[in-house]
Amino acid sequence: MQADLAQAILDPEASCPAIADDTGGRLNVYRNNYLITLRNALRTTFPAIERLVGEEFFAALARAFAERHPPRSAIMARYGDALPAFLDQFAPLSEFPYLADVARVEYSRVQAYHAADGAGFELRDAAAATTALDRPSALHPSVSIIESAFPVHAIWLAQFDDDDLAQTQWLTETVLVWRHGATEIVEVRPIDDRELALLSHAADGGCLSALLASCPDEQHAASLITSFLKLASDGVLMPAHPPFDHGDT
Amino acid sequence: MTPPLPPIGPAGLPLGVGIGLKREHCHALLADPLPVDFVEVHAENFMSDGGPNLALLDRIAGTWPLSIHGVALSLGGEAPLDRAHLLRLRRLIDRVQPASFSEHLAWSSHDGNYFNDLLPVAYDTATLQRVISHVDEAQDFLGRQLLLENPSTYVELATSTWHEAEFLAEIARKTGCGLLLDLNNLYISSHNHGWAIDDWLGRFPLGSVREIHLAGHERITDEAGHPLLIDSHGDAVSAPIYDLLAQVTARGGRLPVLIERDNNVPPLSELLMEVEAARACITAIASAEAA
Repeated sequence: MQADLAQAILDPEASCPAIADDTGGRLNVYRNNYLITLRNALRTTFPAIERLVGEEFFAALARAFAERHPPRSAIMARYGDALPAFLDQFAPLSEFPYLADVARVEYSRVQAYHAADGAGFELRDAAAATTALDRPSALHPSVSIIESAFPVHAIWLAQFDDDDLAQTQWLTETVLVWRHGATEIVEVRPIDDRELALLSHAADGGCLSALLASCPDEQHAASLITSFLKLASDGVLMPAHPPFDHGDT
Repeated sequence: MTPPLPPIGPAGLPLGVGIGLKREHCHALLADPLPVDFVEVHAENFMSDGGPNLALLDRIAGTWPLSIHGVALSLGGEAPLDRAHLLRLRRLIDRVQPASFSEHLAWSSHDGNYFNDLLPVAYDTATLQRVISHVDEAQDFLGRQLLLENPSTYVELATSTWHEAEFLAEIARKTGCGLLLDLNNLYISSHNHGWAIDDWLGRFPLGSVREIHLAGHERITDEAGHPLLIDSHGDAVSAPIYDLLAQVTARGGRLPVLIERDNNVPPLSELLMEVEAARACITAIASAEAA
């Protein structure tokens, strides 16, 4: 019964014997609602993609996506997790291979806004900072890292800043997305290989002092410490839970 | 002079007028909260794991009596209730202790897919039993009464044998749930299916109503050339809906009234004028009754 109606909403060609009488084509109201509300949800999460492909094309893209990927959750902020992979495979956009990574950045921003809280490092003085270097660290729950073969940060930013992309060097970029603690501020910025290595090390629960031990020279070590302190004070890195806290939720 | 606070309704919402809180109005309203007696938010917009969204909800709950209105529990669905969704609802309710929690007589999920819409249920006995057991389960799990809202529908289902108002009455009688009477939905469904509103209200247990919704609708023409009303929530509350509010208030007494607006959201000042209009409508009836 509901299977009929569900099928008829996803497939305009399907008949729907569950309906008493549809001479007025009233089922189309439900079909349109479905497509419009999902398109609106996607527009909210992926504004740069809409600017990049244009409003009209975005509507068609949203429709194609919604027909193949109905939401699996009632939380619309999570809708679109499959859009980057869909864009990778979407033949009409095959000349724009960077779109999927822009979509990954946009999806990560929304997830960062809704992510759990996490207590950051105490960095009030030099002694506290030195202690932080020796503590196993973790990424804040809002953190995403997107490693792209394209200048994805520049492309994303240009959609809102009117930056001239012609000046951009067409190089690979790795982008960090995170929320500043409990604030509304979600940041997106490119990171270099050193920061990426540091974040990967932290994601595995490593402490900075272990990384410093393998540093080839002092200059390298000093820059690692600077990067660590910046990431820690920005709330990207936080102390990993001590072992006795595990399972205590 | 501070206006007197409205009295508290049976389910905890004040017997005043509230609005569905839109994000764009949040800051202005939090800075000057007095014009509304309570606010309503959609549960699914606040199912974050943490961060500023939940902090905002905490502020809202600390400012007004709060109504949490769910749109995705799928109480009318053929599938079992989604326990993960129920758990998210319980966390939210436990966190902010709202004055009221309401949901819809509708379904929105099938086979794991979520349709982001309130789809029509068949008014037959098998569906009735299923909805009763879903409402029982939800109330047990959440540890509180829920209010069930009458839907707006565009089609009727082939197996329906019950009158909508009696279907709702039976669910309320069996489960002890309260009812949320959406006058815009009643007006829309009655128009779309040729029901008589007086007859509908005559079969409906007004004594179980704990909240009233008002909203705007849109008029289109269906493919057979018949006028069809759409529950757009995109326009001001229209005169026939205020007439219904006056009728229901005269019959059932004062109730908490909420103005819903989800699309074409106007400046806050316009919504507050609607709040005043609803207040004037209720007060006029209440004074006439008292005289």
